[in-house]
This record gives sequence, structure tokens and C-alpha cells, in this order.
Amino acid sequence: MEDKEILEIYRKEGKQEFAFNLLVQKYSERIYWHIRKLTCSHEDSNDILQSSLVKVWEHLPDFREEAKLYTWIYRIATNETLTFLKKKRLNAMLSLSNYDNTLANKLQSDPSFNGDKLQMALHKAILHLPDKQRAVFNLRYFQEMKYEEISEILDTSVGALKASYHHAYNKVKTELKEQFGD
Amino acid sequence: MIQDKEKDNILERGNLKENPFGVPSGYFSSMQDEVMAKISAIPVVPPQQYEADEAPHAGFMTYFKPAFAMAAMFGIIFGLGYGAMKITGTYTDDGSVQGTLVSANASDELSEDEVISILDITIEDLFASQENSDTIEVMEQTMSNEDIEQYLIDSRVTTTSIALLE
Repeated sequence: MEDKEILEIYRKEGKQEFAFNLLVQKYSERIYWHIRKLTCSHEDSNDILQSSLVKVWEHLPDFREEAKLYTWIYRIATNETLTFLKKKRLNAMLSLSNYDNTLANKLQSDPSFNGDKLQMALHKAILHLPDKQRAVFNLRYFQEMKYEEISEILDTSVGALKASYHHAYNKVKTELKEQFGD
Repeated sequence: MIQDKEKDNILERGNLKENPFGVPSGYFSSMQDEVMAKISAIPVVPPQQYEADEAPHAGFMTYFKPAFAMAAMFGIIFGLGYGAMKITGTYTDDGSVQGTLVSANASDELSEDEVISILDITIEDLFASQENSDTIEVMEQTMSNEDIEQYLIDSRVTTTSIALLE
């Protein structure tokens, strides 16, 4: 079902929860994987996803269709995730530890990781990028989103996003080349 | 050629874009139930009834507010500059340059008595010492013009200073 149709249902009296359920069914899985690639933890991703969806519910009455509904939902989820990571990094810094290492350890010891060595190396290399750049890389590389859509999600200019992605892509590629050769 | 290069690119190889992560079985359906349970506890807010093309009408103030703000800003800057120049005496209405506001206007606006009252001193204070008043009286009585001239010569007072005193 198209987003516009879901929104039309949502605007009918007494149909809000039904329409929201349609949205959750449509987007929760995609949003989950976006969050999961940033946090490297199922539990953290679940918490962030649920709080993001609750925020979507709370703010949906104010949604004015100036942006696409799905980029708006992605935006809420991405902001929640980046805020979560920022807090975690601050806590790690206060306890004199490195949150990058924590993320790498989570990825390494994740029992649900079914990839091969190259995939593991790729996801470890992505962890070496700054959080926002990781979000840009994941949205472009894995989800193959358009720069215009990523621009709406991250509130960053298309030019800056292109530069950021290009830089991240080369960085990850160089790291993989060092490990696996050409 | 470009395609060969793409194939050689390690990031464009086979399964790298596939999702290697997994979730517990039945996770998504249970998560959706949890979310729906959570939101049903939150009161329903009636959605706004406007469409994207029915955005609130932009009125007169919407367009002219920035212009008014800029005009007000220039007014404030001009006022501050004018006030500062007035106070420092670098600008007068007739375009001439004067001294400071205090020095320019004090003599016009304050009488000698007022100055003394501001300074909180009296004529008596100036001549409070009986000795001083006696000396002045004696000098007035005993000094001739020749004595005064001799005194000034002895004190090495120049003729210019004397002229200025007159």
C-alpha cells in the first residue's frame, strides 16, 4: 500500500491505530536493519526501533507531507540512533574505555552473524567511520538510497553527502584491500 | 573497461551487500505487537486536517517582516551611532565640531553657584584659613603697582601669561 493511502486512512476518524499498524508492518523491518547496522546489537536496535516508532506515532498528527513519509520515519530513527551512540560514546569516555572497541567486540561475538570473512571485515571497516558517515555509507551502499532522500533524512546537502560517501567508500575499500589484496 | 574495473573493486564483489545479520525467530511480529500495545496507551491526537497544498496562507507580515526587521536594525545602529557622536561632541546639528558635551554645555547650563554646590564647597571653604584671609587683606592694603610688577618679574611670569590673565 502506498504511503499516501495509509495517510488517508490515518486521517479518518477512529482509523489511526489501524493506519499506524500498516505503517509499522511496512517499515519496521527496514528501519530495524538500518539501526542494527549502526549499533551492532539486536537488543539496542530493538529498544531504539520501538522508541522511534512511538515517536512516529506521537508526531504523526503534525506530519504535513512536506517530506516523504518514509524519509521522515527514517529521519526519526536515525536521529534516535545517533543520539543513542553519542550517549554511549560519552559514557565510554567517562569510564576511560573506547566505544569503537565495544562495537567491534559486539560484532565479533554476535551469534546471529551469518556472513563470511569478507563480510565481517567489511562491517568492521565500516565501524571505523564516524557515526554520521556510517549512516551515510549504510543508506547509500546497502539500501541504495538516492542522495536526495539521504539528504532529507540527515538534513545535509547532497554535495556534502556525495563527498562524505566518496570518502567513506575509499576508506573502507582501502582497509579491505589491505586485508584481502586486489 | 569500466565494467572490468567495477568487477575488480572489492566493494562490488558478490555477496557483500547482502545482510549477514539475523534476528530471533518471530521477532518482527512480536515487536510489532509490543509497539501497538505501547501506542494504544498513548491518547490519540486528532490529525491535522490540512493537505500539503493547503499550507497556512502566508500573510502580509510573512513577506515584509524581514524587511521591517532589517529597517529596524539599521535604525538602531544609526541611533546608537548618532547618540555616540552627540555625546562625544564629534557631531553637531550645524556640522561644526565641538568639545565634549560636558565641556560644551556645562558653562551654558550651570551657574557658578551651581558648580560650587555640585562640588559641595563654599566661598568660606576656599578661604577657610584665617591666615590666608589675613594675608590677602594685608596684601590688598600694602602692595602698590610697582610691588606687584616686581613680584611678577621675580616669579618669572611671562608677559603672555599676564596678557592671558587680563
